Amino acid sequence: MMQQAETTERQIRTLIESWAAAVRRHDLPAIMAHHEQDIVMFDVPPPLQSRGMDAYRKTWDLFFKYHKPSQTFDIEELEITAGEDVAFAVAIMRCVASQAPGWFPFRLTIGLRKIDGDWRIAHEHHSVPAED
Amino acid sequence: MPNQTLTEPAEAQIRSMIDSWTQAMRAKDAAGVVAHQTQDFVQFDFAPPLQTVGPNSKGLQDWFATWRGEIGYEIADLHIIANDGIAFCYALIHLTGSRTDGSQSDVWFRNTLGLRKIGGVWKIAHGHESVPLHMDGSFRAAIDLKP
Repeated sequence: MMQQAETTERQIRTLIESWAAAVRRHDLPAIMAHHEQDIVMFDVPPPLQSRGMDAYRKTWDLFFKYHKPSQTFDIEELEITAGEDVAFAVAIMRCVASQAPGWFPFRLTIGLRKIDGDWRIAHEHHSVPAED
Repeated sequence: MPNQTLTEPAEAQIRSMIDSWTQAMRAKDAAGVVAHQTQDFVQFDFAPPLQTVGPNSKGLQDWFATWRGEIGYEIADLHIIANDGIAFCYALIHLTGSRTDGSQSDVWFRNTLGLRKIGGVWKIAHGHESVPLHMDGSFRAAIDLKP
């Protein structure tokens, strides 16, 4: 059982690491390769939420206006809590974007489900604490 | 009915736990809120710092003290994805009420929870609350958005 849990965690970690690598090279098909069609995304910029893959893709179109290929979009800390077919991942990320000086940290929570043997992302929540 | 909770679907159990948690938020009952959290609870709050670890009863009490009377804390669009021992859920929360500085709050924010079932009881292991930020260079909190 323990070994099973480790395998599951490694699968999810690999999925999230390849997703972040795809973001760094602006590879949209690879970014969107492991999502559920009804994904709900809470992103750093408005709107409050983006529902479905078309809306999810638009959040990356917007992000790529501020982020150049190969610029930082890195996982600093990643904690995965996984059951048999439901999991969530909690991360501190580091990002470079043209409006902000240097790099800035942000928080990321990902919700996943296993469907037909594959882990799929059902939910992403990206945020920066609000100063005011 | 000792077996009721064993047969009750996970989603219904979680919905009832979230009801109890939001009632504690509305009543400004810090102990009632913290009772639903794990000891290693990781919080991403809508205000700094970036993250806190462990139940933060003092922080809640300080925040509750900025409100006059009950807090309006209504959950909309709650989605729950659960299996036997792990779950996550996400929702929009409508926060309303009067602050002790005389101002009125009326804000929609996003909430994601990561849950673990411990000793037969669903607990909140992770909470992530945020508002979007305007990307016009100001990074102002977008507190005027409606779903």
